[in-house]
Amino acid sequence: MRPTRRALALGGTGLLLLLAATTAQAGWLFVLSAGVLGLVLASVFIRHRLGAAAISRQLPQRARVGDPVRVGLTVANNGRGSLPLMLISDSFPAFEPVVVACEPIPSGESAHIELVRAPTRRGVFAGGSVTLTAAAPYGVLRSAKTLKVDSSITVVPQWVDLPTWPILEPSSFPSDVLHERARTGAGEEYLGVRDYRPGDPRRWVHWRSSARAGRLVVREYEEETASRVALVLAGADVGDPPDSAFEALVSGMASIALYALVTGHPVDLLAVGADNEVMELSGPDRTATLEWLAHVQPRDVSLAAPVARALQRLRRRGTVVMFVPSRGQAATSLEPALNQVQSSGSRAAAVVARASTWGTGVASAEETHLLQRLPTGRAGVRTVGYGEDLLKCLLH
Amino acid sequence: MSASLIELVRSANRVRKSEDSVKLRAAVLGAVLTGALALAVEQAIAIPTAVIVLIAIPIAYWVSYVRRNEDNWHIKLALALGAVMALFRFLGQLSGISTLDEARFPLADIFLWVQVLHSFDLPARKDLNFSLGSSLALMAVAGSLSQDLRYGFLLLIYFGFVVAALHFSHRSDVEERADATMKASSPAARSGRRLPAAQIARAAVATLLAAGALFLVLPQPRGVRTFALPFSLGAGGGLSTFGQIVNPGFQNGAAFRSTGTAFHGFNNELDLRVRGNLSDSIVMRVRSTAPAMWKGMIFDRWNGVTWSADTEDPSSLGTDPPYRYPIEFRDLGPRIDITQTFYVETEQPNAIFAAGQPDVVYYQGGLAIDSNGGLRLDSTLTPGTVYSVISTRGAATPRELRQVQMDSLLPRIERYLELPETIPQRVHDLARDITASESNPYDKVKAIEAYLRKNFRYNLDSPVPPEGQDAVDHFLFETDVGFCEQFASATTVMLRSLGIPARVVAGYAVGRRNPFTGLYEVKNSDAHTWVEVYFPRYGWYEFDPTFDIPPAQVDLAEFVPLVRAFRFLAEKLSALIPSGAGGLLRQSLVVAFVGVIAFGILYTWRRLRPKPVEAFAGAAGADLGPVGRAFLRLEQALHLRRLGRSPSETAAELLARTANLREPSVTRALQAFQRERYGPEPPTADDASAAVAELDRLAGDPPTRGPEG
Repeated sequence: MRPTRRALALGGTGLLLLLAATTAQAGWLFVLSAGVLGLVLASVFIRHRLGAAAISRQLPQRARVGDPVRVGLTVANNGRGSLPLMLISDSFPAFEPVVVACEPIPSGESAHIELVRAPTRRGVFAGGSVTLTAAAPYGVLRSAKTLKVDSSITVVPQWVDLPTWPILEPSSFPSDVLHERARTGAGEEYLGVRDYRPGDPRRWVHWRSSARAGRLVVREYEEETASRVALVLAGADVGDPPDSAFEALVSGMASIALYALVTGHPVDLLAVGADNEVMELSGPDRTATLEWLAHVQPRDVSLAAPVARALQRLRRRGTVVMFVPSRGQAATSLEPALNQVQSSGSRAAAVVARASTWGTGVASAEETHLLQRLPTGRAGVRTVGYGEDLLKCLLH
Repeated sequence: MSASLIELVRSANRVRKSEDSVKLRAAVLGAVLTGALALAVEQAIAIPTAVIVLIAIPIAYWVSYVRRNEDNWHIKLALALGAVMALFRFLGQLSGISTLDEARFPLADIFLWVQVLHSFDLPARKDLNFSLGSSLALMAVAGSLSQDLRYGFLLLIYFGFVVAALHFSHRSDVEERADATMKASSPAARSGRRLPAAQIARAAVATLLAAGALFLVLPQPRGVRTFALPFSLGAGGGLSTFGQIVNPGFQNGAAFRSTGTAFHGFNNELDLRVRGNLSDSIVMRVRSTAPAMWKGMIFDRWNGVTWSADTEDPSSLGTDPPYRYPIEFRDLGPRIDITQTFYVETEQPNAIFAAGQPDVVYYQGGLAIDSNGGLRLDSTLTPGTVYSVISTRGAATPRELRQVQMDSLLPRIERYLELPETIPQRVHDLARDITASESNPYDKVKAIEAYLRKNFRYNLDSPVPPEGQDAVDHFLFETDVGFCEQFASATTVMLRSLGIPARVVAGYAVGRRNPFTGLYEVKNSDAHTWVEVYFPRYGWYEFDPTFDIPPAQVDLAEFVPLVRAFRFLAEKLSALIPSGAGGLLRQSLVVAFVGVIAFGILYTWRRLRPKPVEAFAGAAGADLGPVGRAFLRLEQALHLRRLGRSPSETAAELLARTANLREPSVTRALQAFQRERYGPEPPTADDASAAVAELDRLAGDPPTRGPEG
């Protein structure tokens, strides 16, 4: 129990009245003083019995960051007396704290409320404390009890629905003249040619067609239309989640992964875990993808290990998309990783979060150098910054 | 320019959050009206004023409720003008008062008008809370004036409103702080009727019990108030007296039977042949810093049946209060102050009743002094008269008094040794026999007191002495019953026969102290006579051979009503228990009392003591990571610095309040803690160690700057 400011005000007033009563020798002022102090003392003896409260929280199993969901809160009175007027502070970490006033609950009864709340951050959340505060009847002494409430929710990242993502697109469109022309005389796996796209290995270049067309043209193979896509995530976070560089990368990764699944690409998800072990999920469906992404945490490590694992999975050809912020070890390792992927015959792409935009706004020399050095002509590199439209960033 | 100024004023007066609770407003209104009514009942304000106020305040509350969401700048302007007018009215009233004490009434008046004006602009809860506090001041002023139990009824009603107002204020506060409200599922609970009423009733009962208990245990020290002592003539001057004592209820020599309305001894003579009971009607109320005998008359001459006071014209002490007791009458030696205010209820003789030696007298009228030192007024004391006296009373110890010998008496004291020749020798002989074994005057006085108490019984209808016989001789040798006059006269005569200066004084016994008003209620039947004995170098000391004189030094335990109640109970019970068991019972009660108090203190401490910090990590049980343990250390350190976490505070809020969240190291520590505590993956070893170092730094160093913003 803690006294409130009102308790101090009443106590001080009572003592002043006592002083006045002594000075004026007025008996009724002693009574008045006792009455005012009695308001405080009575609050001491009126027990709140908050321990009789049992609280449960009802959550959906899964939610997306920012999407409104219905969250239920039930308070049951298991005690013999009534529960007083209370303030219930729900500090479940997935949501902003909420405070609910709870009317007095008679013995054996319960109260329930459903609130529409939006998860503010990605992750897998469990537990979460609820604090009951009561200062009835006068707001003089406040007692509080914090209860641990078992409930869980998986908050998956936000994503954007990509209408297309050229790096993964097959070029088998009727309008593609080059494709039709090059198809003639091709082998079983050979599908045709198409324009060079950043990220295509150099050995795919079809020099004769390129000479004819006056621009780089590459061979396209049948298996490429459904080639495996490995998405690799690493790097430290900058900014405050959920509005941070790492969260933007996770959202980007979710968007591309879901697009890949929609377009029939087998997907591999890779990141580095707490013990520097490579975490991977191979061939997930949409739900598994999002749940896996709900778990990942920022870890500033080199891309070498996860990329090597990704290339093992891709075997002959495929696409490796790396998601890194523009600072730290992960950023430093990006260029070698891109080269490694292309050297292995797979297509390489990267989504880079410009970390400085979440921080001071001034790019460091390291960051500037990295962005300039990235082989944008050869690899598909997209950048995303603070406050930018993710869809536009991924498409352009 | 002017438009922007008005807009600025309106903006400054805009209500941020208005109070919508009609119940809260009604409860506060009830409390304020009760306060105003109490002032009217205690006659602190005139009836027309009370009527206007009791009509205006509800109207003002209605206006302030209807306009609670407006800026009301024009009302505020009008209220400011009204306040200035009230101030001028107050200053005008101040110029008409004659004593500082009377300033209470203009103060009550202006406070009431401020309350009325303020009632027109009560948009927010804090305004209502202020109004509730102001109503307490009204009740306090009324309580300081009250002399009877009517105020108690108003006080009960007032606290009923206060309890309701605090309840609804708290409820409003809770609802304001909440994002939503939930109710129990039962229809009764959802209707919101049954439980709040029951809880208010429960709170009211608990408050009543707590207040009662506090009233019993709170000490009621009697501060010596020597400033602004009240004095005024109630119904104006009474009967003019021209220096002689006039008793409106019993004229000199009127009869040998008292009418019961006034003590016959409040006259120039005290005739020991008069008999009769006195009524129990209250004659005066006394506010005093200590219980005392209220002495009014001093008799010095004894003629065998009658004591006479000085009948010469008294010497005037002037016409302007306060009056100082002449230096030649003042006694020396150790003395204690007793400050008294007398509220006269029924007409009294033209004498000042006061404890001991009346050093300073505040009385609105002429005052004179007779040769015995008795104070006489120029008219009788009329009902409603108030006067105050600062007295001193001899506080020499028995040991000091025992060392006094009657070898150097002042000439003015020798008159208190005079006795008529007609006193029978056996009276002198008895006095010597009683005090034969005593070597000093003090012990002789006590020996005579003890002798009379042991051998004589108290009876108001004792036999009247036959014509020609000395009344003291008749009391001592022919009857064994008498009342205060016989006891006091016999003591005085015997002391004088032993060469010890003594005199009979008459007045009122202390009366019964009303625990609620704090006033001693003095009844007609408290009229009394007792003895004053003169001790060289120390002066006159009171002795009462009939009853006990209240002690000069007040027992501190007497300040606590509960102690008085326990003593009263112990005395009543010990009277029922065989001799010897009473002391044990009293001790048992004291032990029980101490036990109850100790239990109460312990219980209160257990309820109020700071609980061990309930950490974020604590809720998770024992599975604390290194960052969690560091955060726990930080919480404990903050707790010791009285910056501990409140139950609803989040980790980010705690750090924002106690550290600088703009510092990256603090932010990283917070993120590491949140990740370890809530995230699926713990922070890296580097992050964790950095966070631990940062949190330990915060725990060790008091913050050098305040929270952000």
